[in-house]
Amino acid sequence: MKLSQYIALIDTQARLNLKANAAQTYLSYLWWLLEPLIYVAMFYLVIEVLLLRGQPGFFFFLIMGQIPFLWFAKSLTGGACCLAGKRGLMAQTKIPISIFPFTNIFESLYKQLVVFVVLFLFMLVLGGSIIDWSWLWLIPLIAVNLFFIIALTLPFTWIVAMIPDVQHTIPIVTLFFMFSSGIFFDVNDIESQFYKDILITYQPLAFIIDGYRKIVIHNQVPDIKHLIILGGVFLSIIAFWMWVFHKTQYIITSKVIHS
Amino acid sequence: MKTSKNILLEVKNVSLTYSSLGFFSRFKHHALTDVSFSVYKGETFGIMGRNGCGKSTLLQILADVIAPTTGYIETSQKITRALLSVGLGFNLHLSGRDNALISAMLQGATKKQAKQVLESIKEFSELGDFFEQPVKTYSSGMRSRLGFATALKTEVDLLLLDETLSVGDASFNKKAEQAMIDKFDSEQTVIFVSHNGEQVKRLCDRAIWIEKGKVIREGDVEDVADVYQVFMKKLKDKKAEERRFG
Repeated sequence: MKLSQYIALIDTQARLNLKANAAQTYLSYLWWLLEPLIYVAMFYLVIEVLLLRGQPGFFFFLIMGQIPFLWFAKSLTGGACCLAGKRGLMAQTKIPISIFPFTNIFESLYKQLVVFVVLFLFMLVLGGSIIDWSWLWLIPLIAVNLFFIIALTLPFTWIVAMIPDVQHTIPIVTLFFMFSSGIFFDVNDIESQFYKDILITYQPLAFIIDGYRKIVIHNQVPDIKHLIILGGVFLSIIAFWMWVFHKTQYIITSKVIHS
Repeated sequence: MKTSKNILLEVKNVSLTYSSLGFFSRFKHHALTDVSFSVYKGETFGIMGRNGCGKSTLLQILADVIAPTTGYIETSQKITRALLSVGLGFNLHLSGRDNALISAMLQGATKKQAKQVLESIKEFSELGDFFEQPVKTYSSGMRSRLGFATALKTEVDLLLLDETLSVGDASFNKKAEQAMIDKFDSEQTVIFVSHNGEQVKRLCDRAIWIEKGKVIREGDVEDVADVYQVFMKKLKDKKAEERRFG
């Protein structure tokens, strides 16, 4: 299959799935915004109101972490388990299997781009954020965030197809990322320099979430060198897993069809 | 005259074994054993056999969806193929139009080419306004009409049909059969799979009969279908006798 056709299939399927999902509910596309807002409201209620742990501006700090995290969590959960639902199609047509997780990921991406626009406008209007040239760094940051999602989702999709038991570990993985990415706390406030460096260097989502806050709340530029390294590493991982999917096309298809 | 020069694909000693999942229990199934035959360019080739004999598995291997455990399939050139079986692969929440668009693209058409055939798919499938409605609202007959029309209107080198004709309503079946005969008369190579020996006889030139994953007979469709039908009749009589006495 040509690359242009591969991309066109992912794009078309992702758009049509979004249309189909929206058509199934009364509030249709409004759910794209309502869902993250409900999550944020819930966390705000628990942390700011009930536990009285919040600092001034904590709500804006929270949504700048929570919304990128939700994008990551939904993409990983949906993408990793997507093959089981495609059994009928896989039994009928030979298509590169990586198309299925990519379709899920791009479905989430299209939704997320709308959510990001609304989030950034919200931060500008109500959060006291000021737009300047540093905001341009949101583009490479979102791209690296996407590469990270793909680099983690592809291996999970493959492993879940081979060993379905692994799907039970996905909620644990997302929970680990939720608590270690500095969504509820500022990674820069960690007292131990050693642990702070470890988290920022080796936990990509912590670095990415810190990057969103640096740009949107503080008008600072994230560590560009680290961002480039992460982008390179993720693209290499993606290339490797695309190769694995290509080489094991028949094995995965057979596993999924006969499982 | 069919010669080795216009062979489209050759199936050589194909076997397929698969085992079920689980540490505590293991089940091994030999779906196909040492299957060999050739299909010529432009011919309509029949595969007949009763349910569970390995026909669908063989179709999946011919469609290049799964690989055989041993043996291989040789093709004279890189060929595009479409496997049409009933009701599979549709996204139930999408409309007939959107599903037809995706199906055509999955069968190798570009988005532009796929959009160009949508109207003829709508017309052939006789779905009318239902073409714009979600597939979940369709009857099984309507689904098969959509699937049949999509596969028929998309140009592929090898069309693989899995008992399609037996699911639509009577008038559509007649139209579908005629469309298939037209297609069969053209340069299109078709492999038609059915448990119905009479139907295979009507549509195909040559055929094989598969039983328990093995080729029992290969050759002229009349000869193969006759032997198969005698076998099926004996089987039916035996079952009737068992029911009567036991």
